[in-house]
Amino acid sequence: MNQQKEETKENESHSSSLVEKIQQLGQSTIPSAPDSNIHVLTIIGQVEGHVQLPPHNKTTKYEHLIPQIVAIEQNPKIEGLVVILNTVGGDVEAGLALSEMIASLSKPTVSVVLGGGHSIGVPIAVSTDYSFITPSATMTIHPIRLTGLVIGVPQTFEYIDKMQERVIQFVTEHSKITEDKFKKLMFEKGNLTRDIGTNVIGKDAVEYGLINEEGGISGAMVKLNEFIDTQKHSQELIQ
Amino acid sequence: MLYTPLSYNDIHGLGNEYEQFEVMEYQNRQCSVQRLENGDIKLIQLLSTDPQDFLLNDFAPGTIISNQRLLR
Repeated sequence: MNQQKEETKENESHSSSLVEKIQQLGQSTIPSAPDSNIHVLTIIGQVEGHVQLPPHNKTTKYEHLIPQIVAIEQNPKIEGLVVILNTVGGDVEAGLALSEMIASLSKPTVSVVLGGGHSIGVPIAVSTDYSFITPSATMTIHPIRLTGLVIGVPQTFEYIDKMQERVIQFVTEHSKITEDKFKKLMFEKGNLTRDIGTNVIGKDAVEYGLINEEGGISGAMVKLNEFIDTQKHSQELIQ
Repeated sequence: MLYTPLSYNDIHGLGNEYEQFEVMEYQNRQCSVQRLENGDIKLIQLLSTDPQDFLLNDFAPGTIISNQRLLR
């Protein structure tokens, strides 16, 4: 009985939405958009690593993104990827994993930093073929810190130093910034209120060579379509 | 190891909340959902890379998916 009731309710809501569409658009179906050849990956909030963060955090989970990146690589209909970042950083290993996945994609990739691309967001932003930053966006570059139980031995420092070296190496390999400049920004004093480091704004990030260009989504789309065209062209030449 | 300008307390907070969201497949798309007390499911976030998916009415955040629709 209940099941029937719910079914009729469902049918009613279905027909009312149909009526709504006819009233608003004069037709029963809206022409559906063609499949997009460009897919979008959003890196928002905290980049979550091996430890699940409490639910009040907005998180990007690598177990969601990595299969999506694999699907993008495998699907022949997808020709390009836009990575949109508004992140406060997060887990080093998860962030580096995502960066390496994006960097090793065979399809053209472009990133856009909106709002913020802090800490581990920096390697993710530079992992694409070309990167954009909006003028109001910022990227905080600072040393890695340890949380939790820390053993006071020199080896602890070596461990952090090695971890930091991996981040520095990835960023310098995938962008035009020099190692010296990046380290200088990382260990700068007097810029952040309670930390060592630098808060780099959009224009400066381009000037330092960290990001390729200042701009937003329209610039990113133009650049990505350009890359897609050249890739198609080179494939035709091979054939 | 976290690499973020936020402090430890900003991330971990003081409360001991439990994870209330789960991931499930709805109409062949991955979604982050919340199970409501009456058995319905509330869509929290669509996990897709296809920008066109985000234009679909069925996947607007906050949409209630009744169990009836799921079974079909």
